[in-house]
Amino acid sequence: MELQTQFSSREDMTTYLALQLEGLYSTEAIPNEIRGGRRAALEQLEKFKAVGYGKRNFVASHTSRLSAYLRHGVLSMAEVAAHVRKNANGREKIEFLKQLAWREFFLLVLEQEGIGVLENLEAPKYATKWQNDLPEDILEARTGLPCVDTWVEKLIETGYMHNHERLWFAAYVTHWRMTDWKAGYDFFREHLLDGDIASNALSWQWVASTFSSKPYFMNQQNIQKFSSDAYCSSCRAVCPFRKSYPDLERSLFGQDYGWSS
Amino acid sequence: MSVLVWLHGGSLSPTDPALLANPNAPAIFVFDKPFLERTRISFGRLQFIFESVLECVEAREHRLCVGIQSEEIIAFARSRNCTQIHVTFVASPELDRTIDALEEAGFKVVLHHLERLTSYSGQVKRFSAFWKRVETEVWKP
Repeated sequence: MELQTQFSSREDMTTYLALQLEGLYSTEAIPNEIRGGRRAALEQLEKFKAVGYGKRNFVASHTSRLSAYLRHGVLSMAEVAAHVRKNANGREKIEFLKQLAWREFFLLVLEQEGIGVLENLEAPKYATKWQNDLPEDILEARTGLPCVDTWVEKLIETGYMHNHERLWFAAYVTHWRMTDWKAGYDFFREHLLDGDIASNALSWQWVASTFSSKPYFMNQQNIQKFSSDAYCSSCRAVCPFRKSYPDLERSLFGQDYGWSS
Repeated sequence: MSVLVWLHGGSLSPTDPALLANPNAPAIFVFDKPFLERTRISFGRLQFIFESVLECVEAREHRLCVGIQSEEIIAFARSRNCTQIHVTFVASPELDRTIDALEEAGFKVVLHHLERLTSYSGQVKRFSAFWKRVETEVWKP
């Protein structure tokens, strides 16, 4: 079935595409805030000077929003790197280029391992029995934890999740809810505009400890600090993250990885 | 020899290497129905891809369609008497399967490559070791 390529407006295109692809997508047919295409990509690139990027671990910080364009080859890593070398300075430039290097690293691992990246590359570094499916309360954003539910709602609504939130969410799913990282990978692939095999699968494996020497996890203080207290002060839930790192290491993994040191 | 450029979800720029190498060739993009039927993908992702494809084919003959990817490419290539199919390579099992099907159907598949960040081509295991090897090149290529 051939698709038309001329539209009077974006709304017109959205309506048309929703009808033509009916049955082939998993969500409501709501247009993205982030537009596809080279022109939109170049506009975003031009705006990005990496100002504040040194504080990129703070969810409210200024991130590039270029990942969807990089993922789909709309921008190349080389041209983004050239832009940042020219327009950014100091630690901000260093931090951003290092993040691009992570992307390149993940792609090289994918080329090396092939489809094997969708299975555990290494044994988990703690004794665990993960369940296969993502629990319904997570999928439906009704865990009762305001932070987790907000991450899920925003992801579904916007197709975007800040990198630090991705790590927190992956740790929650894998370690607290004892769910196989592959279920989380599928969920991200479904919704993230930048969802790909390499960065997505290997980041989940890094958190799960099947592609790293120890599992990644966080505590409530970490979420409170880097979310700029978006959730914690007003949260009335029984917080599973409200422990010290040594206590969490013992309760989640039964051993001490030295994260707290 | 006549060329068809095949665009996919990892090569969606008008400056895509396969497109740039063949400025007068027709191009095709296929929403692969069997893949989408077995994989949950949000509408937003498909729309982002579609918007990107539209800009890629603005100034050339094209076919954008929904169907079985390999079959659609083969049919369009034959209708235009193309014997070569040019595509930009990304590591992907779906891409590999389609390339195999095109070659089995008798087409020559020519791979182009996206510009990378580094020239590193050795084995990789941990980022820290990789970073030590590429750091200088990343700062100043």
